[in-house]
Amino acid sequence: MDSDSRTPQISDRLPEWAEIDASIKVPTLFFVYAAAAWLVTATVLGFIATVQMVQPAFLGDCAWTTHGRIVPLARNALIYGWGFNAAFAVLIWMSARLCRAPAPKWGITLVGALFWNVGVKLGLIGIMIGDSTGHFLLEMPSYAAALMFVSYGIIGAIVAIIYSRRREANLFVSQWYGLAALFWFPWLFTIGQAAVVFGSIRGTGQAVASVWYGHNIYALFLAPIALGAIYYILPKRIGRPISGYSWAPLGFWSFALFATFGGLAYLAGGPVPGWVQALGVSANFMMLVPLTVIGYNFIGTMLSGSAAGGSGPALRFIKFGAIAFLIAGVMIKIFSVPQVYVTTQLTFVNEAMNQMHWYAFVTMSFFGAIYFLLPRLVSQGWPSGALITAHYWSSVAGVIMVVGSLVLAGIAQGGAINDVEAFPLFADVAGHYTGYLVATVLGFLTLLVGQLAFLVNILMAIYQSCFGKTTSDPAVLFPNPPALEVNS
Amino acid sequence: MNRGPYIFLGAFALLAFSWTAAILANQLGYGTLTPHYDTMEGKFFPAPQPGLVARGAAVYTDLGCAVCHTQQVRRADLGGDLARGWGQRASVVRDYIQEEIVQLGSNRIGPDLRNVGARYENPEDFFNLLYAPAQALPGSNMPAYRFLFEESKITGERSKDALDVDVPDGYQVVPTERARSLVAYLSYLNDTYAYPETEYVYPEESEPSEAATTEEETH
Repeated sequence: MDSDSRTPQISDRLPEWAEIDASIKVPTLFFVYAAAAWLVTATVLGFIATVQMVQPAFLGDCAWTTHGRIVPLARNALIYGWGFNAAFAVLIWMSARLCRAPAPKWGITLVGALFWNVGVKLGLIGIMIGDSTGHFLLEMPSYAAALMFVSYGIIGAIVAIIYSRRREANLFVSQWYGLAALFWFPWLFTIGQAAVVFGSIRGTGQAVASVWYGHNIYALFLAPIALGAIYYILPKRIGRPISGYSWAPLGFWSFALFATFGGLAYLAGGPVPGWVQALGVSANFMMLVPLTVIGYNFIGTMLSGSAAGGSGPALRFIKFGAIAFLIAGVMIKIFSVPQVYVTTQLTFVNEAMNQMHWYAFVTMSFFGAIYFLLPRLVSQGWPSGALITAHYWSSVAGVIMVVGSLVLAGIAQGGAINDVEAFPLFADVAGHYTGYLVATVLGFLTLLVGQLAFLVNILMAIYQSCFGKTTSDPAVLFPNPPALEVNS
Repeated sequence: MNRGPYIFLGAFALLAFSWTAAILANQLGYGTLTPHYDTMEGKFFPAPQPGLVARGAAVYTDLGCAVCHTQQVRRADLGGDLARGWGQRASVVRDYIQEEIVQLGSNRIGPDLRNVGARYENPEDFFNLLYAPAQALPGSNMPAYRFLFEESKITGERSKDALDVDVPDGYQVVPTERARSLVAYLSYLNDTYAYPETEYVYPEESEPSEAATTEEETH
């Protein structure tokens, strides 16, 4: 991988991959470990929450574990614990690799990482003891939010420095997504806190701000980083460039423009002005533009792969994430049709869509990215292939069970609530859908099996890299077509 | 060409646009909406929240009641809300302007609570529901909120607030301050007043609905 293949204007020495990887190794491994541990926590909490739906008395006698607190705990652990830690790992690693620039002192990043995780823990304890603000994904009390904001500042500054050190003026589309997400989150967080938590908005404007923030945490932070990871890993593992790459910028801008308003559709029919509801619903339909472009990029690349290339655990997860992204886009359109949302709105279908976005798309893509990046950081393959297979199949089965059962439960629930003649007593409605929720409980258990396999594999890989000897030179271990390593 | 600054500026412009359309426009549109003064009744609607009610709203928030209960009544053509007697009309923006924290909710595992104060007039009913939902309302899937009550040995006279529930002889169950404020908040939730805009927007619903039924049918 000599510098002859680089663009000619770069005269001075380019850093070697080993040098770049060494500059980010410790904090990235910490992020990966913390993310996986949070994911197990979130799934256990999600499991408890679903059991409580079937057995209301389960852990219900204590205010700390009442259903109304367990649900936000599970959600916040999943998003700020797993989602953000995994996003940081992917973002830092992808930025350093694509910019071909080493990160500054890793100790600083590690401090940011530690404080972020302390902030999340503090926030969850705050929700548990009753300091919740009561707004979707802004539940964490302000003492935790302040700490998270400062730690994000440290982590974000590191990524910004990596970008400022880059040698290549041209940015690959993954870097567009990464760079934009890097700046979107602190702005979103500031707006969300100012609008809702510090009470500068009153009345149902709060509800608007709350769903806007909650949806944008997905649309303008987690989704862009997951899409960036897919754009990065898909062509590498398949060994072909992105199909229709020149369209990718259109996908990027149109996705950001339309996805940012998608959350407002949750308020359709609610006590907010009609134009707010129309904006949300029409934005969901306009998502057809980015879905077509990004779908063409992803599916085209997948189909262009030769029989020789295209295998490995990273690619399997990334492919699942890419397809789940497209399916989620179609589902959200179906649930935005008035004849459909008259039934599905204010039911478990909302939770199903959250799981579709957060788990089927974002989480599965992050799994793929971690399966790709971790061996390169520790310079050896994954300790156990069997655990990867177990993780993959239990994730696929679990996510299908969770999303599928929640959709069915939501349709049954919405239909029963609207059918006053067949269900004159509201207390009878729950009996109509509880059966589906049993499948949700089993789905969470299935997910948990895979996540434990993932966590064990990560811990074994980190242990081996600390106490074992590296098997071989990373350049020999992970041959990559040079043309695909940096900007294509 | 170095695209970095363009992406930064584009991302900034995009978020600024999103914020303007979704948050600022709403705030400018109805952020200064005031309560309606009814000259006939000599009162403001919605009524200002007394301190106990505001504290109850905080209990509602910190226990996460909104995870299972919505507080938004939809129009007659959007679902069975009115037919279930969850309200006499659809909720409007003005209903919420006295609330410190607006909790619209997103899932109806339990019934809508926007007008629950109109459905249960007796605080006792709320206390019984919170203490033992399955007994107060057979088939209910709500967990019991026993931690909002104190079970104590009767010393001297039985408390006049003690619940009428099954307890061993010589014991009583008394709601805590948190339970009292929560029930005060739930009793406050009652949007039966018809604002000028509710009659304008939903004329067909301005007549008291026949579906506004009795307590037993509507829980």
